[in-house]
Amino acid sequence: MEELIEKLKGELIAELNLEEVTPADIDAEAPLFGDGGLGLDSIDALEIILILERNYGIKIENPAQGKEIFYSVKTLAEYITANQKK
Amino acid sequence: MRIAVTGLGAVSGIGFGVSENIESLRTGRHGMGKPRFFQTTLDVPVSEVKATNAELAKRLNLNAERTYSRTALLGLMAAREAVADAGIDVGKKRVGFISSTSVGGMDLSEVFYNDFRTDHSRGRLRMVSQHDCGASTEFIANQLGINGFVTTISTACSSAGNAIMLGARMLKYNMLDAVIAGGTDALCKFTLNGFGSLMILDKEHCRPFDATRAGLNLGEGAGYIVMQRANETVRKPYCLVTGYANANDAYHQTGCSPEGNGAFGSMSAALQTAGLQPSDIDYINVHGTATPNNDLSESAAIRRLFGDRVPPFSSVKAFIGHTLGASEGIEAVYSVLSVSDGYIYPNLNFKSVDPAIGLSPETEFAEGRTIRNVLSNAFGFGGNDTSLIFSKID
Amino acid sequence: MQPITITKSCQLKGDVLTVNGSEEPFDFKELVTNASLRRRMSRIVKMGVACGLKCAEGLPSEEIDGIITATGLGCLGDTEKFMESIVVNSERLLNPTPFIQSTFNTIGGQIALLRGIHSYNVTYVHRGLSFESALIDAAMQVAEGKKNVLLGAIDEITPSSADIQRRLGMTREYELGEGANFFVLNATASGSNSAAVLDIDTRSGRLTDDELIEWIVGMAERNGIKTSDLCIVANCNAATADNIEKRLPLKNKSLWFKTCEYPTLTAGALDFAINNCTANNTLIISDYQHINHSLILLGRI
Repeated sequence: MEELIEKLKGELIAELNLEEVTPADIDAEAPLFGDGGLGLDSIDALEIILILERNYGIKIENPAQGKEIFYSVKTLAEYITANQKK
Repeated sequence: MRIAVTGLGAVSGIGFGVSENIESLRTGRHGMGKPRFFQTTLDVPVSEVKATNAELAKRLNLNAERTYSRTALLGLMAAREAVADAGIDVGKKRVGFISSTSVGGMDLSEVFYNDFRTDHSRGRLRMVSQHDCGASTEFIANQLGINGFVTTISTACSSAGNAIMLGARMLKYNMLDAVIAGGTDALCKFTLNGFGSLMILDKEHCRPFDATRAGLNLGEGAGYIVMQRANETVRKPYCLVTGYANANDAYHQTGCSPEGNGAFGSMSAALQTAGLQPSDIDYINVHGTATPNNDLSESAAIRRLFGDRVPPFSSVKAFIGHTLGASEGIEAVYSVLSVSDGYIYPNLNFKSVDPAIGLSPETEFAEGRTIRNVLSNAFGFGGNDTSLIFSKID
Repeated sequence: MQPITITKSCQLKGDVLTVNGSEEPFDFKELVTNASLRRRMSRIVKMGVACGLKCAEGLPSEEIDGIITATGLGCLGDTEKFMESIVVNSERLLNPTPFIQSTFNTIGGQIALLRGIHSYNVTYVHRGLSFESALIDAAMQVAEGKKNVLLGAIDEITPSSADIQRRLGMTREYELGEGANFFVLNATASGSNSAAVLDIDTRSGRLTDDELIEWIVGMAERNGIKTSDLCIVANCNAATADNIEKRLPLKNKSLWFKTCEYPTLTAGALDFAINNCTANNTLIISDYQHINHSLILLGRI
């Protein structure tokens, strides 16, 4: 799980083009969206859906479904672990 | 000063020309089907104009050997109809042409790009020389013989509403004597994939305002209206353009605010320009794309403005799809006829009220109603919201 | 047309930002504090948004009654990026960001979003007359009683568009240019820069020298100005500029502006005229690809 969390942090930084953010700056349990965390928005959510499908073979059809899954890096990692097909 | 509508032209997935369009609306014949006229692997319904480019060129008496962007062909078809309908002599007075499009000649550019991307010396130039948004406008203006003011607006899906608004204002300021305004857009891979990437395309036939709505279907076409000062018209005008406004939601790049701030702003300001009260509106041609977000936000704005006295409203998007830069051009034509002939158009595929919306659109075609004023909405990316009001001539 | 005052002009070319003709340092991150929006911006969007925000600086958002932008070719970088991704990914799993940002009204929309400006917001995309169209609209807005209108123009060069325009023969006379320009327009004569737009006219198609001279004389006459009093800013080629000097008796030496070509270069010529011409009346003569022409008559208030 720890390994996956670190990998995800790197992918988020690269794919979302997060400026001046290092993996160490991301608290795995902090909210990704809204205030207090990384401050991502709904367009970022669409990009995270792409990361899940491209890199982990996980398909999310409805963006609204992503709300709980995308809460934090940790919830994302848990969802991947539970659903990964590759 | 009163601005009159004296000419109409439309082409869409449900018909060539205004009367075919209305006949389809009357009989409930929609334009959706699998993409046939452009190459894509996406399996979603679209409302295409049912003709190849060569067939369109032939209908327009153009040399079919030459390369035209589909955007230009569709636009010429509708603009020519509008000019003939108004009976104006474009060569004589100060006649302007204000067009709009969301992607211009992209239908050709994306074919060019396939050859160009790996080797910049490749790709046929005639396929890219019409890429810019002004190209189709200039082509249509030349074909019509217009030598007055010509320009192009692009504000995504509200483009044609803004073109009509500019036209009305230029007439008011006596900068033009007549103006043909509206928009044209052809379907292409670029746009279809764009809306696909935003995950707002419904794989089924779209259902505006319905509880089960799951996204929009795209369409293509063109629509133009001719406007003149009311005391200078050749023929008896259809109606007046009395209200227009553009406001910005300033909430999100592509989404709309839950309270519908931009939509509320454009509708209220349009009423103000027209000097009308909400109770004067007898029908709303809503934007109603059928995305969960748009319909919820638009209805919130409508409720804020009209309270518990929401007039009859409907979306024609399940007939013609969302035609983007052409959307308000075609829908302005429908709205004008709503005022002049008392038409109300059915909101196809509406079955159940969304509890979050709590409003039911009109589902039957009606004619002969007394419709004093029609409000027509068009909203686009970048929070760009435009509302127009068409009014009966006393 | 009533005179429209231009109270502020900003220009971004390369990394150099000028405000009313003087260079000012700027930090993009301080201008755009929203990190989500900032990191998605392509080069042209950054150029336009930075220049626009700098120009709107100091004006309360509720006092900006309009944002009108112009671009000949729009956000080409994002357009190509999305086209490329369609081909490479075979229409599957596409990142929506370049599509969203490719829209022609992106810059006007982003300025509204960043500053919370809910007023009129329109974008003109008509080749070499995009900026002129926007200026006509802005002038009407001011005449309609709007307080301040933010008017801008933006075009970018991308390697692909440069190659295409070269192949189309559009770079025979001039190399391609790019830039962002923004102006604040209103009806008052306050501010450090009180140039006023007195008249504007546009033409399309080829113009002969005679037609051009007749057009210039006509505009001067209808505004009650002697052509000899005009300061000409020639945003056209050298041969045309020489011909105007030969044909019209001018007291002031013409200023030749044009050194590159892009659809909204007239906005740059306007910035130049406002900040460099001291004569009472300046006439900007623009020509894009010998197809789109415009005359903009300026006065001092």
